[in-house]
Amino acid sequence: MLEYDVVVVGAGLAGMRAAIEASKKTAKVAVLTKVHPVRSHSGAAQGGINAALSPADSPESHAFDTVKGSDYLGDQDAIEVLCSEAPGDIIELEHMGTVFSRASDGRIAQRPFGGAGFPRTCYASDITGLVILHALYEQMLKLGIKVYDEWFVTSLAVDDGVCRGIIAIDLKSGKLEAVKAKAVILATGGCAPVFHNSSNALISTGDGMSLAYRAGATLMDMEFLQFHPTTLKANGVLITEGARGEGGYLLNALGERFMAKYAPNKMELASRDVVSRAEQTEIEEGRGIDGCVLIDLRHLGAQKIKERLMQIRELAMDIAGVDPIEQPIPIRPGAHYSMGGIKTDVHGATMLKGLYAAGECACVSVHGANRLGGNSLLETIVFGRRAGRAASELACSVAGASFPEAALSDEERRISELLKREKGERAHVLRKELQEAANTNLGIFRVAKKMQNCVEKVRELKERYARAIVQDRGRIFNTDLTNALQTGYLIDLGEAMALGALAREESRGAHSRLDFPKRDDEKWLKHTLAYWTPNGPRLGYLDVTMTKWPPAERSY
Amino acid sequence: MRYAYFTGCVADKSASELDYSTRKVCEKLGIKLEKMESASCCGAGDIDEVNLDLSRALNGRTLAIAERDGLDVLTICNVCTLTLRKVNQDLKENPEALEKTNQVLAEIGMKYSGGVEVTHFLWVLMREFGVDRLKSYVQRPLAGLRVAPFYGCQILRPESRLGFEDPNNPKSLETIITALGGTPVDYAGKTKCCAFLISLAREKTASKVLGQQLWGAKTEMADCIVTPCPLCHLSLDAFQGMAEKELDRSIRLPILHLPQLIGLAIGLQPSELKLSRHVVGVDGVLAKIPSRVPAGPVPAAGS
Amino acid sequence: MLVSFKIQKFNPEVDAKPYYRDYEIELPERATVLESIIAIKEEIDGTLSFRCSCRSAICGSCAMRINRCAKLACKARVADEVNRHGSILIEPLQKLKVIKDLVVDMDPFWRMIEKVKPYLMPDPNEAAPERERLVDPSTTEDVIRNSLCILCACCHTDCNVAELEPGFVGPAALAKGQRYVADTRDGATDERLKSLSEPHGLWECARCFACTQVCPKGVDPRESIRRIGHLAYERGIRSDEGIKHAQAFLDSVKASGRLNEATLPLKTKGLGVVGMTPMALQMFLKGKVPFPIQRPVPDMEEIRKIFELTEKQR
Ligand SMILES: Cc1cc2nc3c(=O)[nH]c(=O)nc-3n(C[C@H](O)[C@H](O)[C@H](O)COP(=O)(O)OP(=O)(O)OC[C@H]3O[C@@H](n4cnc5c(N)ncnc54)[C@H](O)[C@@H]3O)c2cc1C
Ligand code: FES
Repeated sequence: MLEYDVVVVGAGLAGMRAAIEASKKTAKVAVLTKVHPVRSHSGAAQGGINAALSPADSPESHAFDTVKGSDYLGDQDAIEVLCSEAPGDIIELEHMGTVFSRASDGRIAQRPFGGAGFPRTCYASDITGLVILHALYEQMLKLGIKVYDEWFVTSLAVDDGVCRGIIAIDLKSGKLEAVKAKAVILATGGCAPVFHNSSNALISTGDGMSLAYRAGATLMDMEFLQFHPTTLKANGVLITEGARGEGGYLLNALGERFMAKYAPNKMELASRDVVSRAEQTEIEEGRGIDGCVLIDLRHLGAQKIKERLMQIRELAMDIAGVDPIEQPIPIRPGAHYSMGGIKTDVHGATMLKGLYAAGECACVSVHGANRLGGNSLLETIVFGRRAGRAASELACSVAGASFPEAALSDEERRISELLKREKGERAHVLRKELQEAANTNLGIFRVAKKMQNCVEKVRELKERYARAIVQDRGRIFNTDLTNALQTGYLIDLGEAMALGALAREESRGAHSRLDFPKRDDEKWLKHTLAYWTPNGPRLGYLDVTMTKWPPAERSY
Repeated sequence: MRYAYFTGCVADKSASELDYSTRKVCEKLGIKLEKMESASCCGAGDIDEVNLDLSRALNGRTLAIAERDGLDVLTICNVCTLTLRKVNQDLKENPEALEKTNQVLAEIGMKYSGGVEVTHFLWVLMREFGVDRLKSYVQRPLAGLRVAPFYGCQILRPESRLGFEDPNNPKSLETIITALGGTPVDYAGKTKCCAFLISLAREKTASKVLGQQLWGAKTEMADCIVTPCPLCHLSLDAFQGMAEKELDRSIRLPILHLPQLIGLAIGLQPSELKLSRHVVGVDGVLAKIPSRVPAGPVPAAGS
Repeated sequence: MLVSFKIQKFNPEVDAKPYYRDYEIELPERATVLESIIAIKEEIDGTLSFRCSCRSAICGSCAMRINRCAKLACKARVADEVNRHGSILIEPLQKLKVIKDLVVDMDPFWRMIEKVKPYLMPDPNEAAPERERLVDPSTTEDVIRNSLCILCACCHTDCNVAELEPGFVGPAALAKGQRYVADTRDGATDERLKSLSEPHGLWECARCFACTQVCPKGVDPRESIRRIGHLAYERGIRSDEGIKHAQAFLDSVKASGRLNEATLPLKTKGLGVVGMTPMALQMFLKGKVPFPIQRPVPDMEEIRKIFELTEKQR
């Protein structure tokens, strides 16, 4: 059996940053990832990463913007960590070789982003995620950190209430393998594909969230799912917030910059929840075009578009058939980011001993009810680093315990059963029904009845999933099998989202209820916790940590 | 149809049969070629590699000469085509580059304003001259001759600089072979590389690359290969022995320049096409096509 | 629209060798090839295997041969393929071992990328500054453009040289190398240029331009290779025969305005030219070896002047 001090699951920004940090304390670090590291979804991040670098800016004001953006649901101690450590982490990324766009004085350039009081988003044109992802991967090469790529983790091995390692399918050989570890870090990314046409990669299926949840770690704030204001109609692919940061306008069918009605000060650069709701309202009130509104970049001029928004232009041309230099792009709000995730402390520790989490799969919580653009990449770096450090410290302090013997054979049995099952539905049918149900019932504006429908639908899907089949019965690179497993993860998370949303009788950040249109700090200034039980999640609640900023009215 | 005729260095010297046959064929077809006697070498991507400004100035001069004469440039070599077109495109699209180049040209009393197009003999036949018209000149159809087209790289790629046809699915050579009565042979190597450029510095690698393309044509039972590029020709013909050695196989495939193939079909004599200058003999090809030109009306030059 | 696909399949667990299977499926007008094969997998053949993730041409997972050209399936449009080729043929990337259907073993490709030491190597004698290293915005734009490479391996697997010379480091790795050569923060430029000039390095490029043609991100690897060659020349790293070839070219044009084919081999290969004699002899017999002393072109004065002036400009 393979054996490591620290096993990191996931090689996006959070996972690789964690592994790099952990390798400073112990050489026995391995990264497992279901796709090659550079294929991770972090590479799709476009707009940028936040840090108060300028002397005219401050971590404190970054923290305040984040707290306000979170609609006061973010834990303020964690937010202070995030914002005060941000500048150091950016400089470190720069020293590692990350290429950032530069201002004329040669310093890292920064662009304005939504909900921010200062232009503090560092970027590399509109391929920020890609350049950081490659830089971290290249550091991993330099440091010689072991990567098991195309290893698909199917479960965590837990013994005595402690996480002892993982079980994974080595996709290329098709074999099921156990990996023993003193500490496991989950960095498996988001789960927006619970919804149809999300902005996420097809592989962002919330695997780690579901694995942790099933293993006894707790999920937190799952009902908070961010809808990004600018996604392409055809398939949900993202147009970065940087497009508005650079000065793009949002227009309705009448050609009006409608944000004037909803956020007269910040206009297009209000917080994402605000802008998405505004767009949805315009569309629902008949001022949309074919289910969309428009983002107009023409006034930025060809040069700026080609230089700072090159990828956006390519995507708009390829997918929507529109050149933003000549025409506005039709866009609509789309499911984008999970504020919720595996509950961790500021060191990435989950409720399960030996298990850590970082990045989008974790909930520290720094984003609360709504994340600010540019804060997620930052979170992956700051908390990836912290989780890497904490996990390696734990690994160095404990003796290697035994790996639960039955874990591998149990898992082998489960998978071969699935592979052998004869009659039933294929998983993608269930996935599509889940996404359909989420889009219809758990979208930007929510009401009790629809959410109830969603809960029922998910329960039905869960039952049907227990009888689902795969068509590919082979072992080698069986993506029919991994798709089926991923659908199982999505159903788990859909259930936690729907139940958490139904229970929360208020509107806060991305969770916006027509039947409870106001924020209710008295009753609901608290996190939702979801514990796994065989009959579906059991909900619990936890107070929000407050340091400096008492809740206040939120307007942009 | 009149062009500033840019022979290129290879067609001027070691592949002089290409220059010769091009002139013979164009004469017969009524395409007027004004030889650019004082043009320099295009630098073949080598000068471009070590000194971009120099490449722009040298080729800018060539373009300026054509511009002064009010003619577009016709090339008979892929490498010249790409190199000249690249410089031309850069000078047309990048005002800074044009300015810098013109500063140099001013010192020799010249100026380029971007008014010239660079084209290749093959393209002129396809577009300006026309295949139907070419057909009407055929006197000795290449019936039964299996001809493998070899495009060469730098007439196809990159599309952004050349753009005459789909680099993955080109049709022009096949169209011409068919128009001449021959049978085009399809094989994967037709759009691939002859490795001429590395034949000196990386002999073994070059021989492997070259060998694969030659062998591909051979296995498809080609009687000969036709190419629009003298460097490809040099590789395919003169270095064929090296490829044979590398593959440890006999290939012996005759290689014709495009105008030579056309010349044969429109009734020019082998001597007018200097077919004897090839390293791999072309007798097999000549034996396959009717030796005598059948009597009949011959279109007048330039009609 | 109803579209037919021919897809290469191979499952090592059951098949002795690859074979083609035909599929027919109803698709929306603007469907991509990726959307199509996902639909085929879901509706017709659950065993059909391929990699995909981002669906937006940024992760590099879905590279495959579409109508015999390496492309990203998520960028290629079905309608365009049908218009250009009449039908759609899908095969795995060339040269790499097939793991299953369209999934190939990318390891040899990753090894090539690793060869160019793709990470920043700051000058070891220079302490890291407290803040970021300062960089001129214009050089950054250049590095960013090169950083657009998503390592999909389209260029590497369609490269005409790498196809037959497995040792050739290939266009993607060279472009990656150039990304670091161009990075002003890097302190190992000469070391990089030397290693990029090694036998299977940049001078093995035959300029087939397949890389530039197939790159789905507009990175233009051939241009990156040209730039490394240029810098190697500037920095006096000129021992490779490839660069001697370029130098000989330059010299002969400088001397006569034209390429001197007769002296090029000698200047490129030095005494190594002896190995080529049988070939040279054959060429000589056919009158294909021109006289080594070449008459300059008319108006040679102008050309000389151009050389002088561009030297001065630099
Ligand atoms: C289109 C888009 C644009 C964005 N732009 C920005 C932006 O400009 N600024 C910003 O701050 N944020 C942005 N975000 C959000 C941000 O990119 C993500 O939240 C962040 O990159 C997540 O990183 P991660 O490391 O947590 O996960 P990911 O990068 O998603 O990595 C997940 C990793 O886990 C592995 N994995 C998953 N499941 C398994 C399994 N079962 N077994 C083994 N391995 C597994 C995967 O292989 C992968 O390596 C954007 C998001 C999207 C979708
Ligand atoms: S799926 Fe990511 S590049 Fe095609």
